[in-house]
Amino acid sequence: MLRYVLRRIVSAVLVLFVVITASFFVMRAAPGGPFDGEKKLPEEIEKNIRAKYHLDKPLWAQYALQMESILLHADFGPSMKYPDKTVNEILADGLPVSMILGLQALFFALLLGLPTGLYAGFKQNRWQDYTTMTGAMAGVSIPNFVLGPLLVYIFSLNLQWFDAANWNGLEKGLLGHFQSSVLPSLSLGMYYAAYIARLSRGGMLEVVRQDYVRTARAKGLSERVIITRHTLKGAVMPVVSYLGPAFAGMLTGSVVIERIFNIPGLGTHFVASAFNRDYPLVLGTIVLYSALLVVLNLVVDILYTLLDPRVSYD
Amino acid sequence: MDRREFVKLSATALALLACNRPEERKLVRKAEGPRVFQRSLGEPEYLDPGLCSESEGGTVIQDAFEGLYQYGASHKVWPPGVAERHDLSEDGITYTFYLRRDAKWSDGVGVTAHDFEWSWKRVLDPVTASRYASILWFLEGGREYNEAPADQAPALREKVGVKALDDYTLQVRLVGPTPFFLQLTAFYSYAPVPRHVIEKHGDRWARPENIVSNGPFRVTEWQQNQRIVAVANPHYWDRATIPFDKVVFKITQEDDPAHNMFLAGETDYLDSKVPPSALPKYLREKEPLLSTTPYLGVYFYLINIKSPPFDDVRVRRALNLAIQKSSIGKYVIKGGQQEAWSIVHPGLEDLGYTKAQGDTFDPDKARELLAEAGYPDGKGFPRFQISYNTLEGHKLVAQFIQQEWKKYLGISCDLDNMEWKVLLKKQHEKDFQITRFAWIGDYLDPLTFLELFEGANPNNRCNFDDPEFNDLIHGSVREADPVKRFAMLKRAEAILCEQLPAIPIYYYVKQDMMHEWVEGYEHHLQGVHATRWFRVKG
Repeated sequence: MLRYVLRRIVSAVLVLFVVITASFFVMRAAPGGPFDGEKKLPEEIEKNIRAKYHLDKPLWAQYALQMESILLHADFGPSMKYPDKTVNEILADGLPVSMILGLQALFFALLLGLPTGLYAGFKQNRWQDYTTMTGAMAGVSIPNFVLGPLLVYIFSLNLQWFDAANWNGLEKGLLGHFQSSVLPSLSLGMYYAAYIARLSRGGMLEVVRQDYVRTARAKGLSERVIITRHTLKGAVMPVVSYLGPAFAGMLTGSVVIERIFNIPGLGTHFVASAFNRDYPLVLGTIVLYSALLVVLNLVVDILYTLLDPRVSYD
Repeated sequence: MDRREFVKLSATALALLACNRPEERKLVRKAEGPRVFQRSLGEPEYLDPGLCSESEGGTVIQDAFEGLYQYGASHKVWPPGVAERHDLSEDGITYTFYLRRDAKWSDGVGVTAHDFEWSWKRVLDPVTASRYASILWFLEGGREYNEAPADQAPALREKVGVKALDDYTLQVRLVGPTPFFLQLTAFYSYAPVPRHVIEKHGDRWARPENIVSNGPFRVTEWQQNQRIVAVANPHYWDRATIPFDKVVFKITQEDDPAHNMFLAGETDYLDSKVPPSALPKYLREKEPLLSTTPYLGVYFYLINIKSPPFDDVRVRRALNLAIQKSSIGKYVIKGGQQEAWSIVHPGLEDLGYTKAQGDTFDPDKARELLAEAGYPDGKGFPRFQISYNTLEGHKLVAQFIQQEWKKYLGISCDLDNMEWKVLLKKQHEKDFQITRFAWIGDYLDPLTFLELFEGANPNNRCNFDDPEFNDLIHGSVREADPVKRFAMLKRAEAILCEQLPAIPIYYYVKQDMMHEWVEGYEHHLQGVHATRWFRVKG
């Protein structure tokens, strides 16, 4: 197990290295630079700005400088678009917000998706199954950029229960936090809730046909015990393996939700920094997202061995 | 749920969906009281007046800093700021400003003429690399210092026409008589910056934890993509007249959340961020909370006049004549924009300028000119491209113009949309045939639009270099008689109408929304609405 984890960590470092290198060069190849603006700068001035950010050096030297600063100091340098902020500061502000949003959405997705899916699986081909699965189909098909504005329209503009946009954090207390975060979490989590419902239904269907469940029934155990003791653990397995990609998807997929609800997370920077050609910020967000993906996948793989005795990496 | 309950719930849901106009709902203002003002804003880059180059940062800076003069509630009023009064020499070139003695930085230190001298030279310093430095080129020696190579810069710095004669007297020498110079001193690049704070904190001086300013408000908090909070500056000399203790700028990148926050009563004033999708309905139904006013900007299509067949002026005129521009504001982008046939914004006629008259819509004449140029009914006219940056509004305009040219001239073109930075690169390299462009005037004078076409102007992107036009522009800068000066500029504008290096499309309008509890809003052609001129009822 330990050897497996170590091997995965080494390969993760390699992946990140390739990601940094590839994004560095692809970014520089894109036409236009960070300092191209509506007003053209006089040559001397442009020269001064470029020198300040080492853009006057040859590409390989820029790459070496950037790598040195990232590897030795974990420092991405100052943002080119927001010169009095460093990329590390921007990421440190945005990451917790995206994480909280992602966790809330995940929590909501599990809360809604898991029980309905298991229930539907248990009641296969009955009306309970058909209604929940129709609902799940709708949840998968409605894009969050439709759901988000619709929720805002009903619950904040008309009913005025929740904030229309923005992120309160804990400044206005827990209630204030939920006032601003419930709608975005719902819009972000709905797709995943639906998907989880379908996965857990499938898991349940597979498990209830297993021999050990038949044995349990033959022993004369009550349905309640069969469900809680024997089927549940096996039925959630597909969901567990989906949690890693789901959470990663919520983090990166929050780009749209963050725009709709104006949430100051990472997603906003992810897109805007590329349009602005803010090289250090683009690199920072890419590295952070890739690191998250790699770590989340590793965690899920480890979690898997703990839940399913049949899986082993040794 | 029984059937009756279901029907009742559906009816409620439908009723809720139906009443989406703000006045049909009972709106509650969500704020801490009438002495807090909440307004929308896009994300600024930074709050250093000397380095700022965009309107978002400018909006906050106008509230936090104060120049020699300041922006009034409308563009017709320019109240004095740090300057109490000024003298102007007879030749109109030397200004002497007398500064008020009670002007202070928000840390209590006095604002002096030395601060202005240092701040203006800082903007022009090539090492500062300010993007808006060219707006200080009106100062004698300003451009020379700004563009100086490193070894000559120190000597040229001494020659810049700004000098503190003592703590409260500032002498300014200009390149030529500049009738709009007092307005310029209100612009953020001309604002003083606190030398004592900058020398202490360096590049990070304008962050909320360090910033010191001399205007009505002082920035205390900035959460990226969320809000900027500024509180009343206790040391501001005119503090008694400021109606707010606090102003909260709610930052959004997109129009829709800003609009939603406004509709939910979370902002008092929606500064231009009315989503294009909501506009047609508001305009049709004459929404009382919406204000549409002329805005000092012009939207045009630049033509690369060195690239055949556009090197033939008859072709350019034909293209211009064959667009029914009045349809654009009404039916194409539907924002109420006014059609444009010459480059200077008509709002400047308020100042005594008379615009040059260009051609107007005339498809018959267009066909005639095109035939004269050798393309009867568009036959043999090479297929060409319109380049624009990806945005719904630009696409609609481009499609409309494409159809007009096909319909009236029988010529075909392709639409080539691209990312903004890519388009900028192409424009700077003059690698285009026809491209979308727009210009927002920096000051209230025709020169702000016309100088774009002067041969040596770094922002001239269409290869236009007409000796008569250049002479008129250069001459106007040195002309002391305002009547003669306007006549020269009018002639220059007329040359643009004849030569058409750019096809004017429409003049901008600015759409703002204010709740009924907001007072004090007036039309400002430059779209600057400083917080201090607003009032909140109740």
